[in-house]
Amino acid sequence: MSVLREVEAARISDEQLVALESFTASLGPSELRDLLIALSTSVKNGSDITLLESDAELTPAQAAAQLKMSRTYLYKLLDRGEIVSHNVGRDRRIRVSDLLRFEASRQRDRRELAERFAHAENTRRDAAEELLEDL
Amino acid sequence: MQNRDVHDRRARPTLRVLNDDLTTGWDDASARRALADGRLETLCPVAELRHPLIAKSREWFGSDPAGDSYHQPIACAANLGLFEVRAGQWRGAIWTDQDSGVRWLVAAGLAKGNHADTDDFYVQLARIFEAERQAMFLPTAEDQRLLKLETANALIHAWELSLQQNVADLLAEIASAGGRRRMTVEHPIHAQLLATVDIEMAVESGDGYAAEVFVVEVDVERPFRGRNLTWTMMTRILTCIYPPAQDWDRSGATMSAMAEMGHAARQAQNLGQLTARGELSRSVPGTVSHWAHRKNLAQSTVDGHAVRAMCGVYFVPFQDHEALPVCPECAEVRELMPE
Repeated sequence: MSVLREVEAARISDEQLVALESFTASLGPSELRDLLIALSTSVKNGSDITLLESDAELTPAQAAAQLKMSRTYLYKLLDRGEIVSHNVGRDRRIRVSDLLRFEASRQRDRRELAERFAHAENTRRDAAEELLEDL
Repeated sequence: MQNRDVHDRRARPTLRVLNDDLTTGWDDASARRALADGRLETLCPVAELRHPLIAKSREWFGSDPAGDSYHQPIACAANLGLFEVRAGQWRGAIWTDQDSGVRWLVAAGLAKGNHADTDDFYVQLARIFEAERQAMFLPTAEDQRLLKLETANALIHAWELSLQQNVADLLAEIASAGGRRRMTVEHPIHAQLLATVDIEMAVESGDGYAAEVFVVEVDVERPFRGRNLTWTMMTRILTCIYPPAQDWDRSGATMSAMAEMGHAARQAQNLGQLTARGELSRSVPGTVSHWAHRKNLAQSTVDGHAVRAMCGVYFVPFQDHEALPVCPECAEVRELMPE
């Protein structure tokens, strides 16, 4: 059994989705039902799904693919400890939980950078005002 | 407390001259309108406002001391050391601030045939000196503030140009084969270290792609962390390396973008040409239009916060997206969504 199982939403037929939802409805309130509801909602929204066990470990190549980033960047982030990893022999492994934690902070950082780019003119103007003090 | 040589010394009008003396003779109405609306900062640089007397003042009393020539002193104003400037029928008085070395056009008016009329420039000037009211001509705190603002803007522009040239030189070195180089950035005024920036390029290939991957690591000195100047440096450096703003990934002080093969070499050349023209490269806000969930868009267009697109990129929705091609990943996601 591989560490990741990937499913494209488009490959799940309507009949299968209906069957899944009907089975889900037959379950009493439970964690399993919550999980299956989340699954069928994502599939209906057209999101592709990746199933990862929480303590599953990814190789750097797998992690880079999951995060949609270059291997070069990933290795840099591992070296700097921006993504937590541990060694298995000579290779590095990244836990899914560490990947998810990284992704959350990455989103915040990307967002801040995007805003700074968009408001670069204003930032520059504010920088000029600050520099005034020194003149 | 002012510093000689920090400011451009070319003659500039005071706000009083713009408001009270130069009531006519403008090439267009925009300056007077801005003045009336109180939009003083849009007037900068004031030495370049479009009035013949301002232009002449700038020409006769320029930036470069080597260009200084003889100027006619104004007799009645000897104790202030005023010099005359003429453009057509316009007359002006230039005063030099001994502390900063900056020249100011402090009075202006029309010469009326042999100074016969009471509203002749020289007649009016003499009357003010006689009444000992000449202090009214001197630049005010607001005038000095605008001067400093212009100087601050000019310093930042020059600083960004030097960052751009540094990046160009660095890219030329790491082009083609790749490599890692360090650049140090100093504060535009104090000779203080602001940040150390490491720029690396590595060629990466994989499943049907080959790309130049750029990784930028920034180490900002403690006193400058989070400052506007520091962000200006950051966006300037990243824009120089790779202009599409949305393509920059970030985690803390490490940033990365992927470009096509040969990008570093091409960009080094582009930047060199731009710097030679005194121009700064522009960031490209978005090459494709993204789909985001509708509820997020309206407020963000107003307050300027970044929104997460369906393909994962963060963007600030404020540009005219109709004209751009749709992001292929967002299109796929949207295709599969129920109506």
